[in-house]
Amino acid sequence: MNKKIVFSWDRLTYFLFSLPAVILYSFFFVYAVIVGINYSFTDWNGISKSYNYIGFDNYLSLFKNPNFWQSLEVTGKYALMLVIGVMALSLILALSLNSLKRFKTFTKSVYFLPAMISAVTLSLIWDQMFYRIAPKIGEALNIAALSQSPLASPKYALIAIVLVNIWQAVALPTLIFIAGLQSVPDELYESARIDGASTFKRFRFITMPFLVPTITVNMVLAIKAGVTSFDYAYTLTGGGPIKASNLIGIMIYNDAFQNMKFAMANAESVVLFVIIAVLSFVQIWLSRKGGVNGK
Amino acid sequence: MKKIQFTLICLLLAAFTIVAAGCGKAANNESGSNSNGGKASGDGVVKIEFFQQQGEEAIQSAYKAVIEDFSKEYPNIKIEMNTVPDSVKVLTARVASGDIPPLFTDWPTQLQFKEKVKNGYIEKLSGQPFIEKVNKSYLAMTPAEDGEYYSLPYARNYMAVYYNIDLFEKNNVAIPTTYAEFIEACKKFAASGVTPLYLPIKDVGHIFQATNIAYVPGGVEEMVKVAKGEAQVENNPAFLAFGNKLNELFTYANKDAAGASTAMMQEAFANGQAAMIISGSYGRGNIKLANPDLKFGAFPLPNDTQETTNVLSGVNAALSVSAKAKPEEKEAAITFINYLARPEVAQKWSDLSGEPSIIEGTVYDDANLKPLLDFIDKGQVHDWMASTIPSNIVTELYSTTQAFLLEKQSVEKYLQNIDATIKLNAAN
Amino acid sequence: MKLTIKAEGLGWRILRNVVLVLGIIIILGPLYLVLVNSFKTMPEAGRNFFALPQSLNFNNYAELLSKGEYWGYVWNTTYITFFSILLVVLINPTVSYAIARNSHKTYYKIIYFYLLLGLFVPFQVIMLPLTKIMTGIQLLNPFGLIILYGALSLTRGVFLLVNYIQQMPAEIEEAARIDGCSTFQIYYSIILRLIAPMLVTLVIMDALWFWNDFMLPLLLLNKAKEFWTLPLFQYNFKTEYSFNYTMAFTSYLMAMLPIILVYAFGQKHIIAGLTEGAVKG
Repeated sequence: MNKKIVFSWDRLTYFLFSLPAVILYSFFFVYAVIVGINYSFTDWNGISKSYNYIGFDNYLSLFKNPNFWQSLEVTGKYALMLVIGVMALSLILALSLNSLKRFKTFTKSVYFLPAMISAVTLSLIWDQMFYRIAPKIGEALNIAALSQSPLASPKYALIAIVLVNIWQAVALPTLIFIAGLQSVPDELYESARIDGASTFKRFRFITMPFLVPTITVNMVLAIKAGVTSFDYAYTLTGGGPIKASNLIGIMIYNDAFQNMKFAMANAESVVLFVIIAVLSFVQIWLSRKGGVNGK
Repeated sequence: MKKIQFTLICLLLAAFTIVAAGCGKAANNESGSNSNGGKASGDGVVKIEFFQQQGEEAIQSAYKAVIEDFSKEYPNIKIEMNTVPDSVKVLTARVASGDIPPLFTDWPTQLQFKEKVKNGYIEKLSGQPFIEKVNKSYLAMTPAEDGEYYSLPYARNYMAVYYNIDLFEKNNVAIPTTYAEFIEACKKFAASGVTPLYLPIKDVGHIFQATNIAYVPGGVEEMVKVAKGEAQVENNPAFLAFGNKLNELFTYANKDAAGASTAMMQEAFANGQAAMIISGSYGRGNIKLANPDLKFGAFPLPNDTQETTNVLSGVNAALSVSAKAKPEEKEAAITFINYLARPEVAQKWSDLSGEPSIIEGTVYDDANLKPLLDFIDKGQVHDWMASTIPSNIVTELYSTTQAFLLEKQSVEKYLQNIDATIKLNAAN
Repeated sequence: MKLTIKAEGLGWRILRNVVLVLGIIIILGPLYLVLVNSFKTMPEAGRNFFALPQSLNFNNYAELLSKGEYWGYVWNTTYITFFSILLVVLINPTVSYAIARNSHKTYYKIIYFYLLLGLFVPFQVIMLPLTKIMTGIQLLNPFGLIILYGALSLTRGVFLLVNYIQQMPAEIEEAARIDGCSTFQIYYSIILRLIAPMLVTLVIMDALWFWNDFMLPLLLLNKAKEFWTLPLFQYNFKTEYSFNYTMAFTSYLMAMLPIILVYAFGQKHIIAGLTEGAVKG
C-alpha cells in the first residue's frame, strides 16, 4: 500500500504477467472492434478503394428498414426460445441426473456427447433427419405439421433450428447445474424433510438459492449464444423460407460479403453489440437484486 | 527453479516480440503494395493459386485433369487449384482485405464483378488471343462498363425444362413449343396419374428467374426501372400474366412442392416420379448420378408463342487474373488461360465436367440436349437477373415469390410486393 | 422413515427415468442412423433407412480416404487446437493471477474490466475487421489463427479464473512469501496447482471451441486446402457431395470420429474436469 512507486521484482513480475494478454487482446480484439465501429460510419461497400464518412446515416436507414426489424424480431424469438429451452431442460436434466443411482456415468457421458460435435456437422445431420424422418412420423401419427421437413415451413423452421441448437447447447449448462447441486449441503434436505416440506418447496427454498449464481452464468451465456447465433440457421435453412429464420447473424454475413453493404453490416453488428450489452447488464442487475445468497 | 523461471519469462517475452513484430509488419504493409499467392522459387518454377469457385465434384475433377495435362507441357508453372466452401463470400472478403488470388473464376456479367473491375482489381484481357475463340453471343454479355474484356468466359449455363423421354413416349406427348401446349401436356400426364411437373418451392429462386424471363419479355428491364423509381409492375399486363402462369404451374406440381428442395427435385425426376422439371444445367450431373440409365432431354420453357419465348442463359464461371499480381504470376495465369482456350482442351474439360463449353470448335456430347442449345444459339436468350439488378434485390425477390406461392396470395398482391421489395432494397 | 421417502419418490423416479431414456434416444438415434447409413449405398439407404446395413460396405470410406486429404485435415485441426491451448494456458492464468492479487490497484482494475468488455461483443463485430487486419499483417495462416484464438480466449478465461483465484485462501501464498519465494515461484509452484481444476475446465471448453470452429478458419485459412481443418472439410462436402447422402453420412462420421474417440477414452476425466471447475467457479 505504498503510495510511492518503488521498483520491485514482484511488481515487475505481475506487470509482465499481464502484458502478453493485454497486448494480444488490444491488437486482435479491441483494435478490431474500433475498426469495425469506424466502418459503420462510412459508406464502404467492401470492394471500392475509397469511401466517405457519412455519420449516422447507416444507423438511420437501418432503423427505417423493415427487413432489419423483421430480422431483430426473428432473432428475439430465437433467443427467447433458446434461453427458455436450454435453461428449463438443463435444469430438469441436472436434477434427474443428480438423483440417478445406477448408470450415472454412462448417462452423463451420453448427455454430454452432443457438446463434442461441431455445429456444422450437427446441422447437416439434423437436416437429413428432418428431411427423411419427419414426414414418416407425420404420416404415421397423422400430424399435418410434419408432412414435410419442418425446415421447409415458414411456420416451423425457426422452432426446428432452435431444437437442434438446444440439442447441443444443453450439455454444458447441465454440467454446471450438476456442479451447483452438489454444493447444496445434504443436511439442509434432511432437516426440511423432517419439517415435512414438499418436494416443490424443498426445490424452491433450498435448491434454488444455491443455483442462483449458476443460473446467472448460464443465462448470460445462453442469451449471448441466442442473439448471435449463426451456424445452425445458416447451415439448416440459410435464413429461409420466406425469411422465417433470417437471424441477424445471417443478415450481417450476407450484407458484408454478398450484398456489397460492408459498412451497413458493420452498423448492424454494432447495434447487436449494444443489444447484448444492455441485456447482459439488465440480467446481472436483476440477479443482484433477486440473488438469495448475496454472493 | 531459477531455470524454469528464466524459461517462462523468455516465453512471455517471445510472445510479446511476436505481437510487436506483427504490428511492425502491419505498419509496413499499409504503405506498401499488396503481393500475395504466388512465389517464384529458386528453380524458376512459378506457383500460382487458382481460386476456383465451383464446388461440384465433376467440375473440380475436370479442372484437375486439365491442370495435370498443362503441367506436363509447362513444367515451370504450377497451378494450385483452391476451392473453398461459400466461395463467393470468401472471395469478397479477400478482395475487401486486399488479398486477391492471382487467378480466379468469377461471374463477369454480375454487378459485383463490374465493381471489382471499376476499382482496378482485375487485369484487362482485351486483345489476348483467347478472347477471339469465345462464342460471340456469350462474349457480348461480358464486357465491363468501359467496353473492355476482363475474363475468359469458359462455359454457359441455362434454365430449361428437363423431360423424361420414356414418360413422354409412353403417354404420347410431343415436346410442347407454346404455353398452351405445355399445359395440355400437363393435363395429359395428370390424367394418367403421372406428376406433370416437380417444383421445389424451398429453392424457388431459379424457378422464379426462369419463369419470369420466359413469360415476361423485357421483364427484367422493367424491374430495373422499378428500382430507379420510374415504373411499377403492379397492373403491368405481362407481369399479371406471369403471376397467373406461375400459379397455374403450381396446380400441376407435386403435392409436397412447398417443402421440396432442388436436390429432392433432381432425385424425384431421376427416379421417374415426375415427367418434367424446370432445372438449371448444373442439375444434369446429379440426375445422372442418381440414375445413370434415365433418358432425358431438354426444351425451352415455352411462352405463348415460340417468338416470345426467351431462355435464361448466361456465362457460367469465367477466368480472370488479378491486376495486383506480380508480373510473373500474371504471365503464368495468362499462359494457363491460353491453354484452356484451345478447342481440344476445352472439349476435354466439357466432356469431363458435363458443362456446355463456349469455346468455338467444341461440340456438346449429349444429343438429347442439343435441340435446346441450338435454340439458345439462335439468340432468344436473357442473362441471369443479377447482371442487371443488384443481387440482394434478386434474392429478396425469391422470398417474395416463395410467400406468393406458399401463402396463396393474389397475383395483384404479389406484384405489389415485388414493387415494394425492389424499392425498399434499392433505397438501402 | 425410509419407506415414506421411497413412496414419495416413486412417481418422480418413473418420470425421471422416462425423460432420461427419451433423451438418450434423441441423442443416440441420429448418430446411430449416421453410422448405419454410412455403410450403405444410396439405393439401399433409400429402401431401408433405419435398418442395419445388409453387409458392411466400406466403399464410402475407401472413397473418402482415397482422396488422401483427410489425415491432413485431422493433423491441422489437432495441431491448431494443441498450440492454441498452449497459448491459452500460457497467457490466461498469468494475467488472471496478476489481476486477482492486485485488484486494489488502478491498472489492474482497468485491465480487468477492459478484458471483460469482450463478453458483450458479438463475434460479428470483429469478424470483418479481423479478416482485414490479418491480411494486412500477412497472418492468413494457422499461425495467425492460433494467435487469434489466444487473444479471443482471454475474455472467458479471465472471467472464470480471476473469480476462482480470489476465492482461494491467501494464507499459503503468504507463508511461501515469508519463506522467501518470489512472485513467480509462488505462481509457478503453488497457484498453477491450486487453479488446476478451473484451468482444466477452461482448457476443455476452449479445446472444443477451437476444434469445432468454422467461421474463423473459413475466413483465415482459405488460401489453400492444405491449411484446412475438419469443419471446413465437412462444410465443403455439402457442395461437393450434395446429392450422395450416404457418402455425406460417411463424411459426418469421419469428421466426428477423432473427437468422439478422445471423448470415449477420456470422458470420465472430461466430465469430471468440467464439473470440478464449475463447482467452485
